[in-house]
Parts: sequence; C-alpha cells; structure tokens
Amino acid sequence: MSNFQLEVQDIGCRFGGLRALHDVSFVVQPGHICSLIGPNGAGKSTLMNILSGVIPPSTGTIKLGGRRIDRLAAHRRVVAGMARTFQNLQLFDNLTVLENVVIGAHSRGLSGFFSGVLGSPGARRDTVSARRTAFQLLDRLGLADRAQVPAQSLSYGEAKIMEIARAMASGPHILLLDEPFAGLPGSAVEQVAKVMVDLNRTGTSIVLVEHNVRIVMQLSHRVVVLSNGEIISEGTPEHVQADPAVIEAYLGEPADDA
Amino acid sequence: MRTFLRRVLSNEPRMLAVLWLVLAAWPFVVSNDYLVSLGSTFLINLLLIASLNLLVGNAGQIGLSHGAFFGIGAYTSGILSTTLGWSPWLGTLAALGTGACSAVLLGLPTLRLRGHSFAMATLGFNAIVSVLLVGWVGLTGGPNGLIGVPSYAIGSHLLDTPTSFYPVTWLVVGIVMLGLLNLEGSRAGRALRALAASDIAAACSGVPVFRYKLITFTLASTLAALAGALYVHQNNFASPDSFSFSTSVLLLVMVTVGGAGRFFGPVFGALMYTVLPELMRSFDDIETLVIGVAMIAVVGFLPGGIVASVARIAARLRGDTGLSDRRVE
Repeated sequence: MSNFQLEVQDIGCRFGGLRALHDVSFVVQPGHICSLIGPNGAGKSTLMNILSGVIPPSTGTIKLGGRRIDRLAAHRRVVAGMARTFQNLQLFDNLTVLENVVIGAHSRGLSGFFSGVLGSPGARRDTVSARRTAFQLLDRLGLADRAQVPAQSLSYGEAKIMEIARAMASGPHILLLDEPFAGLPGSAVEQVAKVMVDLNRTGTSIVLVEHNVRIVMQLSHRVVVLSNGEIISEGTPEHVQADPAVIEAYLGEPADDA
Repeated sequence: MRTFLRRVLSNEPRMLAVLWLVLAAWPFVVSNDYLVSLGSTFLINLLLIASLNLLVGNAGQIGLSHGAFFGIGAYTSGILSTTLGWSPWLGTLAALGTGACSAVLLGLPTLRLRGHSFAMATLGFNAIVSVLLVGWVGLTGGPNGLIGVPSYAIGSHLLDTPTSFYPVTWLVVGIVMLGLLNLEGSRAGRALRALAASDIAAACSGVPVFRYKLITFTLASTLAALAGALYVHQNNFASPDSFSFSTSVLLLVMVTVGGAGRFFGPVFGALMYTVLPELMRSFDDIETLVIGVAMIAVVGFLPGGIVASVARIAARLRGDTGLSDRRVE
C-alpha cells in the first residue's frame, strides 16, 4: 500500500452549460484520510462519480500510484486499486449480505463465463476464496451474524457498513466513501467511524465525502473544501476551520453540523 | 423415502439429475408416439425458456427477440440442409454460429443503452426478422413456410421417429441445463445477478457490466438458435408465425410464470407452454385468455412464480423452510 498516492489534476466537468467542477486539483497521500466537504451542490458527488469512473470528466487527469486511471472504465479502476460506496445505497438486494460482499471480490477472481459453465476447478476455487474473503471482512466489520440474510433486510446503518465491506473486498489501496454517516443514528455513526479508522490504520487511504463537519474534522488528515465546483480551501482540519473563505461559504448553512 | 426426498429437494444438482432420469424414462413409460414427441417439444421449450431466464431472470435484461433467434436457428439449419443439402448436424452448428453473430451485432450497439432501449431494440429486431421470413420467399419459402427439412441421421439411420429423435433433445438440453446450473453458482453467474440489481454498483465492484451483458445475450440467443435447429429437424417444417414477436412475449411470460431468476422456474414455464396449447386445441383463442389469466394470477398472487410456490408448499409439507430460502443461501 506504500506508494499508492491519488493525484487529481485540473478536473473539470460540464453538464451542458452547467459548470459542475472547475480545475479541481488535490493529492491524497498514501495512508491518509482526505475529506471533501462543501455546501450542497458544490460538486462533491460529481467528483466522486468522476473519481470512480461512473461519469467521465470533461478535462483533467487522475493518477493512482503514478498510473493514469481517468480513461479506465469503472470496473478497471477497481482492478487498479480503487473502490467506493454510494451516498444512496446501491445494494444487490436480490442477494444475501455475504453474496453482496463476494461480488465486491469479483476483480480478484480469474474464472470467466466458460469455466463457470463447465464448473471447472478454477471456478470453484474462485467461489471458495471469494467467500472466505467476504466472510472475514464481515467478521471484521461486525456483520458476520448477518451474513446469510437478504441484503434488503439490513437496517440502514448495517447496509452502509455492508457497502464498506463490499468495497473492501476488492482489496483497494484507496476507498471512496460517499456520505457514509448520512442518516445514521448516533450509535451507528460511532461504529462506522471506528470501522473507518480501523481500515485506515491497516493502510487503506480514504476519500471521505461528508456533511457532518464535526466528524470530518475529527477523522481527517486533510480536508478539501469545494464550493460551486471549485476548491476554496485545502489543508489540515485546523487550517480549514480557520479559513475565512470556508466560513463565508458555509454562512447560511450552519445547521450542517447539527 | 422422506429422507431421500429431502436430500434431493435441498440440492439443485441432485434435483436436476433426478429430473433427467425421469425424462430418460419418459419414452418407455408412455410408449405413445404423440406423447414422446410432446416430450421432445417440452425439452426444446425448456431450452428456450431456460436460456431466456438467464438473460431476463438472472441478468435482468428484458430481451424481446428470443422468438427471432429461435427462428434464425430453425431457418439457418433448415435452409442449409434443404436447399444446399448440408448434413442437419452441420446445419445445427451453422445455426449456432448465425445466432451468435446476430446476437453480437444486435447487442453491441443496444446493450450500452439504459432503461427500456434494449427491450425496444430487440422488439424491433424481431419485427425485422419476421418480415424477412415472410417476405424473402426465394430463401425461406415465405408465408407457406420451409418444407421438406430432413431429419437428423446417425450414419444411415434416420432419426425421424419421435422415439429416435427424443434422445437427441434429452442429451443436448441436459448438457445445456447442467451448464446453466454451473454458471449460476459461479463468479460470472453471481455477477449477473448483481448487475441486474444495480449495474453501477456492479461496475464499481469490478464487474465488466457491458461485456457480461453482451456475453449473456449472445449465449442466451445462441441457445435459442439451437432450440430452433432442434425444432426444425423434429418437425421437418418451419413457418414464419412460429417465430413472431408474440412468441417472444409468450416466452417472456413463461419465464415469469415459472419463476424468473430461479433455476427450476423454466421447467414449470416449459410445462405450461407445452401442455396448454394441446389442452386448448379445440378452444382456439381461449388459450391466449388462459395464458393472460395465468400471468395476472402469478404476478398478483404467486411472487417468484410457480416454482417458488411449489417450493413453499414442499417446505411446509416437510415442516421446514429450507427450500423456499434456497436463494438466500
């Protein structure tokens, strides 16, 4: 996990006449938790979608570990070492919790359709090892006892944690978490935060998009503040909190930290 | 007996093996040409519905061209063996090739589209194929159909009776069903169910969504073409209206009625698709009415199709809930 630095350079994104992002550049050091904050409509979710390959940027480059990934399709970025969760849950709700996480390990397998159809030993090995990976992750994140239930029967908080487990199953160097705390009750917030810190300690870099400023300041090594699609401040939590530009951008939205 | 039943019912490969043994016994049990031939028809219908189930039930792609690929298979092998005098076996291989190539050509531009575009495109494709089958009289025989298609033969032994043809479908469809069962539990099979639920989450989990959709569509359509080849060499005849848009819709209905996304759902769908027309022969249009009512009844009252209800009843009889929760294993 040593050298997997994420470099975002001059990312811009236009939807028709709307400028969603403009010249966004920042670096996530290996092992850091870097948070993206900003008022609603600042472009945080767009940036997440661009980083993960869900939508293409209009301009700019993204490098992971020195290698350009901005032209790669979403599934290839997973192979390159990047995984994400979603602001609005994207469960495979027809599958069990364990199977959801097994899908997360897809990029680690090798067997394709034809070895699947033939039921080859390689295909079986893939299934066995993906299940082992998935179960270990669920165990680590405290969801082992829910492994066999359908994903749709999880509570909101459990589902958020399951998405983290699913993203981790690919063995990423960098994890993109899109509002993992939104809508969670207090106890679950603590739990997810603990999971995050734990994953970060074992070497996974994290990009966190979050509205809850208090928790962002608590967890982050670096904070990037977006407003109207541009970076208005960047630095340590202390630096950002004291920046007049940030205070100004947040005026009118003081309830965010509630 | 009870423990035997329990062991069989709790394990899909065993259930498939038992089903295939029963099907092996079918020609000896009924020893009536009409019923044996109906058995072959059932197996061909199972091939059609199970392959459509892979595309619709597992991968979640609403394809409305299965009837067309069924027809492409039938006419490819039928024309090659009739007009050009090819061996029906070679014709069948050619049918697989034609089915696969057409599916790739149709899937490449349409499977990237979101929402209902794929359903619309496949519907349009089926309409085009129907028009060609009727209109290209020189090649297809037009509305009168393709007549005088030869049967399969092994050496000089013609497989032109129901009892000699039946083993061919039994073997071919059995191999396909085993392959589909293997696929269901494999890395690729799981990925298909995932992309059916959320293609964005699947892509961000490392699943090459477009490629998997294309492979699945091609595989399903090729199997439909295989069914077409078997059909044309069973009946020695093909008529354009067997492969119309309404066939595609009916097959889709049978996938749902049987139990979409469930391995044994198509068995019930194929049973219904085979038996209903025979029962309704003297009533003409009532068949459509019955199918319509069945569709509404299943969608309204039997979530998961007939197979899920059968599983629930079986589980209740056994006093546990094992089978109904199979999908949730």
